[in-house]
Amino acid sequence: MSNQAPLAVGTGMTPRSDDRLWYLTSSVLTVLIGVFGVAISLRMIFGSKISLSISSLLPLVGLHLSSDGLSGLFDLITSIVAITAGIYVYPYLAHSRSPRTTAAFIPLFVMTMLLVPMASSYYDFLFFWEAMALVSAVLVLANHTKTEALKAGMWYIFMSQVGFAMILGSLAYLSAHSPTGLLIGGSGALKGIPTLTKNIIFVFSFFGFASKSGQLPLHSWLPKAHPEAPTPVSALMSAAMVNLGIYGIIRVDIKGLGPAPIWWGVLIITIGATTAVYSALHSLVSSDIKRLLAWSTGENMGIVICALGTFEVLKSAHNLNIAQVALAGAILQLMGHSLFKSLGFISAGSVIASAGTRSLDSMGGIIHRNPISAVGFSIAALGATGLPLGAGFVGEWLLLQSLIHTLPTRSTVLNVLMPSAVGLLALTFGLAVAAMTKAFGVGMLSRPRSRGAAESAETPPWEAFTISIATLLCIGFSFNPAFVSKIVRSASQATLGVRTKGSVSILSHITLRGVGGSISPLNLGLSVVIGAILFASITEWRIRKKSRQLDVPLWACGSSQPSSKMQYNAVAFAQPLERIFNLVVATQESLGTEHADSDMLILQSASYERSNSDIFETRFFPVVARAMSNLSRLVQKGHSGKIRNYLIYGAIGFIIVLVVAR
Amino acid sequence: MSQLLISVALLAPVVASLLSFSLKKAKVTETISIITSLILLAISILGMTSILDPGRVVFDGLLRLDRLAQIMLLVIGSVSTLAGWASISYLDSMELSHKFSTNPQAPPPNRRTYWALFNIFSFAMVLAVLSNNLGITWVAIEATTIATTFLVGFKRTPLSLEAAWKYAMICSFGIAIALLGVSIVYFAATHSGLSGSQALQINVLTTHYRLLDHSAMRLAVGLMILGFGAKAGLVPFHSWLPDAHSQAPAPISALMSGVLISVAFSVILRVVAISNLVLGSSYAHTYLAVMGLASMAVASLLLINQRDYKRMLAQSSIEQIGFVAVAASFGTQLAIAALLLHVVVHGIGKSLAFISVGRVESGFHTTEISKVKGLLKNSPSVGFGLIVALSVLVGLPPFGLFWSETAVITSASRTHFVLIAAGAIVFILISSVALVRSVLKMTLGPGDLNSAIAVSRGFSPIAVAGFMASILLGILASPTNGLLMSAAHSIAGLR
Amino acid sequence: MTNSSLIDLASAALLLSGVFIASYNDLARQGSLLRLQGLALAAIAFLMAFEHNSLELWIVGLLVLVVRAIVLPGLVKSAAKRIPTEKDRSHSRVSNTTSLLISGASTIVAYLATIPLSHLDSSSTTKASSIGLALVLIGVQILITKRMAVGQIVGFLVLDNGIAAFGFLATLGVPLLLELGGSLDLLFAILIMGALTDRMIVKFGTTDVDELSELGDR
Repeated sequence: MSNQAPLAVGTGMTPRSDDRLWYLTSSVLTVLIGVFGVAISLRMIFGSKISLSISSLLPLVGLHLSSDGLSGLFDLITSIVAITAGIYVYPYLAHSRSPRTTAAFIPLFVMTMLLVPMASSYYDFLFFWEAMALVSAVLVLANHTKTEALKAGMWYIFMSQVGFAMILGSLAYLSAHSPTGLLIGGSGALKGIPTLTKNIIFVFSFFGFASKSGQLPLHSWLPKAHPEAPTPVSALMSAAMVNLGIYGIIRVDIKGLGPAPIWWGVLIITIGATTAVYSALHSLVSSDIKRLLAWSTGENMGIVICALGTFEVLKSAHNLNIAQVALAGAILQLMGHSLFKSLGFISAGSVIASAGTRSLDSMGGIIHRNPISAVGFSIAALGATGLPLGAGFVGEWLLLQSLIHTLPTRSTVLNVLMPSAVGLLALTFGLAVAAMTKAFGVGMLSRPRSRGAAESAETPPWEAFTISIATLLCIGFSFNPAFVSKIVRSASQATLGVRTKGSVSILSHITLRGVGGSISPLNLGLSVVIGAILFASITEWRIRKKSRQLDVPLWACGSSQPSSKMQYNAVAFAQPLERIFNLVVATQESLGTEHADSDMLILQSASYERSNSDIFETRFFPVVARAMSNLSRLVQKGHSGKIRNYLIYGAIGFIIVLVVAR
Repeated sequence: MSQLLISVALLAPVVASLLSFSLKKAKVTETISIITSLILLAISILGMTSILDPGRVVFDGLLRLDRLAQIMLLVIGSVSTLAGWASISYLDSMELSHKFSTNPQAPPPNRRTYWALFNIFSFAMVLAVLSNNLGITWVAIEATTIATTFLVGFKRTPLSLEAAWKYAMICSFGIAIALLGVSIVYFAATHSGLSGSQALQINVLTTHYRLLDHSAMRLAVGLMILGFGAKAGLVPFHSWLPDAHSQAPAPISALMSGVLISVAFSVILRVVAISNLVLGSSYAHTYLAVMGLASMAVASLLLINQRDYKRMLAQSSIEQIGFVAVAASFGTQLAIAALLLHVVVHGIGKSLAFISVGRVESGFHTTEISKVKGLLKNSPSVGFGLIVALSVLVGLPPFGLFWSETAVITSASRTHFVLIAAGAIVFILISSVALVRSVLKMTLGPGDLNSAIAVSRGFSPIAVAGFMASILLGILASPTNGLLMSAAHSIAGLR
Repeated sequence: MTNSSLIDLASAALLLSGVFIASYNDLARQGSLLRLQGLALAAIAFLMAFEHNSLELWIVGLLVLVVRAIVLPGLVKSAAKRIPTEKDRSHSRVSNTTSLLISGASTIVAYLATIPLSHLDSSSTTKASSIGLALVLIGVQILITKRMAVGQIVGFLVLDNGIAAFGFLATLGVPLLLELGGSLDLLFAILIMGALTDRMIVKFGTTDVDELSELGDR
């Protein structure tokens, strides 16, 4: 059977000794592809354009690859995530005894993700896009014997098919109307597209791409599939694949479709901001650490899309200077998110592996037993909050700057929209801070809440190595985004399509020309760090100076020993906000009690169950499904098996032909 | 040279059929039949690679091996090889279950009849494809009905009898309408001064199209598209497909779904080519678009609540052939080339699907989707085969249908074509979601262990062969591209 | 009588026998009418062969005579004997009156549909070709309205006779090769349908096609 690997696909068989070889190969291949990707994408950004055409591959259309700064940016991000996730592949797979399918498909997944931004014709783009969806679906379904994974995989496939149908329709039309059929580097502009069609294409392709980034309303797959995938795959999906949805929006909707009416940008901002708030709320109420991170991905992508929308609106309003600020914000947020999210998933994966649970309410005390993972997670969480020092700070700051500095216009829509967007984003940031505080506070700090957590082992060296690399990348990025200034410039120039004087300069200071804003993450970071060290030493010094410590028993509500159950837990933390936003997060609670006696006076045991549901999933999709099913019933009635009816259909066709042909 | 190839292609199945009827040894018969299928495959490849003029007609203008015929021969050859291969184990397991059956009166499966009819079926399809004469084509298509009616009823159960009756009635009705159409073509041609022997020859009709009367041809073309559409499984004569496919032995379903409907459609392509010359492209294309979209709509809606996996595959065939009709209605070179690729890959994918579910049926003794679970875990090779077939059929990369679907949809550049393409996308989406849901329900999940299917000899190689063929057709552009494009070009009447 | 009026007479016989088959429910009588129809068809072929002095048409006429006037009606008649009589059921879904009305409507539709053809050739026989189409439509009517399997076979035969009649009237018959192949196919098709009917009697004890509705989407 060993040489019949494809036939063993996902059979979940018990691992053999030679499975380790598979895992190692997979890991090494992934890292190598990542390294190659970094090299090639840096060439795309700094060097010359890469282009490759092989007409003997891919029937009817041929293989055409090409690149510009934008492709470089997305490939660079993917490659970096691939390197860190790739290193983590080996320990993860070996620990979880994953099927070989997983091992075989991870490098393939990375490859398809790298090829999507390089696809230069519409056909090739669709091909790699769908191939990426297929490969990732296989990875989600690799553990199909688990019901949850199976369900998640099904949702993922359905949504991605719907999204793909939208994208296929719009790109096919564009391809038919493009003089060169090229997506990258095609010189001729699209011609002869009526305004209405153009608007329809924009809407369809935008929602199709946005679905890949987990945006409303086709978002439900993301918080299901990302947590159920193997953790390195979760990292790849959350930190790299979702970006490609953004790539699609930039490439096709913003760059490809050309000058846009202002409502396109308004739509983009609306979807982005709504998703950000919605996902942040769900992230806050999730108790599953991977699910929390997955929702946070939706939230961050929402912010990026909001930034893109702002860019689009400002561009339509010919306010190119500030538009570029928004664009830079989007790009930096994208990079930052990828860095902290891959770190988040990897360290969470390590915590999960050692504590044996994904539930925050069964973790706790990780920082003592498993400090490297906990620290890694804290850096990631800091990034996700968007606070200074975190990797998500710069991007969000730039976005807010661009929103605030929007010049006054006569358009009422904009005058209402921009401030509301600021408000929604502020709410998002607040919720994200709460969610991450919860994840770190409940999961990593405090006392262990379960035996698994209490006995969790220390991070194995290989994982520790991975986490340290990811952490360093994250810190490096958040302290000195100057590293990436050239990348941002090349990507934004590729997006704008014209060489302009950049309005954002990212050096050790980030300076906004024309607006007059500036910030220095490095100085800010250093001062915060120095301040913290000073504060800590002063506090320590004062405590030492007083040096009068009393040993008294801790008051524990009258109980003799404080137990871990008395701690503030994840549910409790989120409860007030959950109540406020119950309309959106739709909490279902059930309390089950069992009594020891027939009079039901003595309580033997009690159980409490709680779940949140996605209102789109429970309200919207069932309606669609029911409608389709009813329609299907109607057709079924006509096909009930009576040969007479079938002959009548034929006869009707016959008579119609006789009439039509006259 | 082409004379030789054509005669071998026609004679081989006839000889095989006679031999299988007269020889007693099952082993020999099986080998002969499979070799025949391989010969057909070889001839199509020889025809493609040789430098001879593909447009030449031979035998008094009755036959020719042009590009379209070569491609259809390729489909016939490859699918009948797969189906013949699978028939061996299918018949074995049928015999086995007969041995242990509680009903001793029922006669055992008659292998001789099976193989004889199998080969006659191949012969009729080859003739339909090679014929240059609309009359002969019609006779051949009708002959496929005759050959397969008994095969549909091969299991001799009440249900298979019902299916065979419906199949025979509906198809004969439809094909009779096509005969009416052919008669009218003859009428129009003889009245335009063509001699009786030439009046139905396709190449003569395409060269002398200016002479043909419009109003007569309008009627004739409509009737022929409708009538041959019956064998292709297009609305309104689509309803025999699910019944016949669910009752026929799995390898026969594979042949019918994978090849027969495409062969019938290739005849429609010939008709459309003539029609485009005489009447302009919009006339026949309107029929194709309406019938194609209607087929896609009906099939995809029926798929949503489908509970029987064999009917499901049959309905998917209706949907696919509907898409092929839509592609033909766009009529650009790219669309036609894509359509041909679609037909080839769909043939392989669908036969793989039927062969896999044939194994499932013999293992689970039910055709209900909800009763089959955990195939991938408990019977990996069958599960793998089914999942690959599914991926091929719903047009996932890197399989060939992805390209054909994308290219066809891209070919819709005019306004009303765009609307048709949009409809096609919606129906493809509905049907693929329904298919994926059903197949994943059957293949994934834990399942229960004692439901493992004893996989008989020869299944895994079939699965792997089908997988390799469909993946190569989806990745390699050479030499397929040139062939497809020149075939599309040779189908006259291109705008 | 002239040749062409004889042809007209035969065509009328074709149409009338079709209408009667549609309204009768008795299989044996339908068989006889079918034989009459085959004879009329063969007569048309012979008359045309005589008129145009064509050997090919003589052969075709002979073929028609053997297949459509002797063998196929004979098959129907023998089937009628084998099938258990079921008196309680009406063999048709519609009443005689309705059936006649539908036949009338079919004839009008057929006439209208063939008007364009008569522009091309205004000879009287081409004009009569609408009778062929009318017979086809009546065949479809029988196919749909008869409940018994053999009734459907009869309908199919009428339909096929209609096509043949159309061919003769419009274009002096189709080529020999097509006629030969067509007749062979028809013969086989009818044999197979007959065999299936026999199996139906064994398996279901009835040949009511309305009983055949186990397969379907529900």
